[in-house]
Amino acid sequence: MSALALKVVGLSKQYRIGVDDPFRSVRKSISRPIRQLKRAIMRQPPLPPNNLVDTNEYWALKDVSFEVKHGEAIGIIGRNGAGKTTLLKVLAHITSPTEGYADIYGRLGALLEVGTGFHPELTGRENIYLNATILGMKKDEIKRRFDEIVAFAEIERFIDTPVKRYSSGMFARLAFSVAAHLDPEILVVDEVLSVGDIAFQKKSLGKMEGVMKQGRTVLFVSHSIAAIRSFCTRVILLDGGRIIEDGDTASVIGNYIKSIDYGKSDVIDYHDDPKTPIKLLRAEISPDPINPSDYILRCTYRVRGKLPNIMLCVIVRDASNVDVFYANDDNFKHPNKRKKGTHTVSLKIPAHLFAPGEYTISYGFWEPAHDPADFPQSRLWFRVEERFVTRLSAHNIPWPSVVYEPNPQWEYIA
Amino acid sequence: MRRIQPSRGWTAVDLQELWDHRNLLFYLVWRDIRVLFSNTGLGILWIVLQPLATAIVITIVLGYFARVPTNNIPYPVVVLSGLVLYNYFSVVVTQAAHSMVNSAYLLTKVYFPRLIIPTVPVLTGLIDAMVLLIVLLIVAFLYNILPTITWLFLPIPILINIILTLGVGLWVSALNVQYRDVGKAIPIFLQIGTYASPIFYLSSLVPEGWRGVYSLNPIVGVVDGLRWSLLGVGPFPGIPLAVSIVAALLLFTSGIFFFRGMEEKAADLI
Repeated sequence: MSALALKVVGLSKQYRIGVDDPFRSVRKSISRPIRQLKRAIMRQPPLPPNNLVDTNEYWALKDVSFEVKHGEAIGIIGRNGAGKTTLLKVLAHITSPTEGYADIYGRLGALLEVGTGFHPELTGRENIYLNATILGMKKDEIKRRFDEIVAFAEIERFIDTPVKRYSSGMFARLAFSVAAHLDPEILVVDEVLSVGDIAFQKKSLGKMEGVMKQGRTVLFVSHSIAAIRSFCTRVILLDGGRIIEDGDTASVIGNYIKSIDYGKSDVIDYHDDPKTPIKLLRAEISPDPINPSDYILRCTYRVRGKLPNIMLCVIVRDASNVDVFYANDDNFKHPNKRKKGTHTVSLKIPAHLFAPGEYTISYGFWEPAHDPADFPQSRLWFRVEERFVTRLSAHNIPWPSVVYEPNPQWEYIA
Repeated sequence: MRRIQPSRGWTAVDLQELWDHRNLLFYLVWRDIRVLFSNTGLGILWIVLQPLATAIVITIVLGYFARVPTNNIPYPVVVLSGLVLYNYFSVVVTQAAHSMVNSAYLLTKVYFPRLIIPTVPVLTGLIDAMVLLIVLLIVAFLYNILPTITWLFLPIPILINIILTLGVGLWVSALNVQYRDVGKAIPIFLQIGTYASPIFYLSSLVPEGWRGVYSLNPIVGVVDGLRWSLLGVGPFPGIPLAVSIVAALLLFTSGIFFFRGMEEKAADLI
């Protein structure tokens, strides 16, 4: 039981971001040597080393070291962009590290997504074989577990129907079910447990717990503190690509929750683009000064052209990517909002209704029946704290997974 | 124990690992074929309809109107014997070029030997090549061209063509990950190739002085080889075939190494 399963030493991963052209075009790698040659002929000093590349380096992982013994269930937590998924991708051999190494003792299976490679034209049966093969299962293994997979997904009647006719719930159940029957010695799981309806989520969590109780080695990334609390014996907290803390579940989670800075507002600025008729310049999220459990989103944008139908849309998603809040400014009839010039509007997000967890906000301009006009990638997020301590948490029982959690109002009647 | 470490560029192919993943290759090929058939009335006919339509139009225009000299070989046989090889080459190379980029959803989520991805179109393409070959043999039979001893040689040019296609496919799929320009440039090269290779005419039509340069095109050797084997007329195209073999092997081995050098970076670049 105590044999080493994973040994990670000084693992680092560097990405280059914001380079003007994400895939270097032929033009640049051809023109550079030519310019270099021309300078040599003209006896000019050589070009400085490729300045295009060096400016925007960023370490998604930096000097990460830890060891995992067989049978350990480890949770990995951290805010968005902390490097959790990058760590899993390096361990799963999907992307190679820039420095350091990881030794893996045993068969490692990675679950970064459910339903990878599912094809809508194929039947449920065909997709099970295809998807399980992609995830690394052997043919006889799939044959052996086929009935189990189908039964777990509760799709017996539709097994020979093309997946495109499935409801989204059935699709998600089948996808998860294949993944859940993966049987490696070391399992690496990214936030994939939150598919299907609530009943199926419970079942998936139960399955996951069963896997961990069997003494499988698991590395588990989740935003759900409750799930981590109930599965994992040890937790690694990442921030900015580094390990901040590595220790027993209760203390690391406790410190993580304490460390999050709620009061601070968060701002993202966007580059202006004179070619677009409407452009978002700044988005800012901050707690509502009147009721601090709500949040205020402020958007600053510039209007250059006439676009009668364009709407500013805001979507709030929870950690399982469920849309919990949507608003657009169509019913906000302020006369100035589309006049030429720069405007700032604010929107109140009623976070006091949301269940505890992390929420991300996306926003942008969108014209119905068109592609989004300007829908930037957002990294704005906020966290809703656990509001009440009940005996559930004292017994390590996760809070039921609900999307909304308004203040309960009890009254004693008689 | 397996060690994950920074990529060191040019490494040899892990044949054992490739063999362990043969089922994945099989399922991906099967999926592409299966999807091709679903929801179409004519099914597989669609994939050969395009080259067949080309063959018919070209036969009318070049065979009847322009009367391209063919040394008394029926013109439809000339066109079809060229298209069997070149249609395979161009369809597969086009698909291979986009294969890595189109498989981004797999490459960023699961690990498997990436060589499988550009190999899939090389295998699926064999289906339509097979159908086209059968059409060619039927048409040849209708023109009273019957099997002779030289037909035993038929698999050789076909095999060289497959290796050549795989080699070019590996190169363009790896290049297109980094330089999307490659995917855009390929149709142009393939179109030029249609005329720079003896597809719609016989290579004996090429003036003597041009023959040397012309035969550097590796397609020339395989097409000439196939026609010699099918019709058994003219001298054996030894030199062009040798060029094709050397080119196919060079492109194939260098393609594997180039691809291996790129594959560890692929998930980050796509």
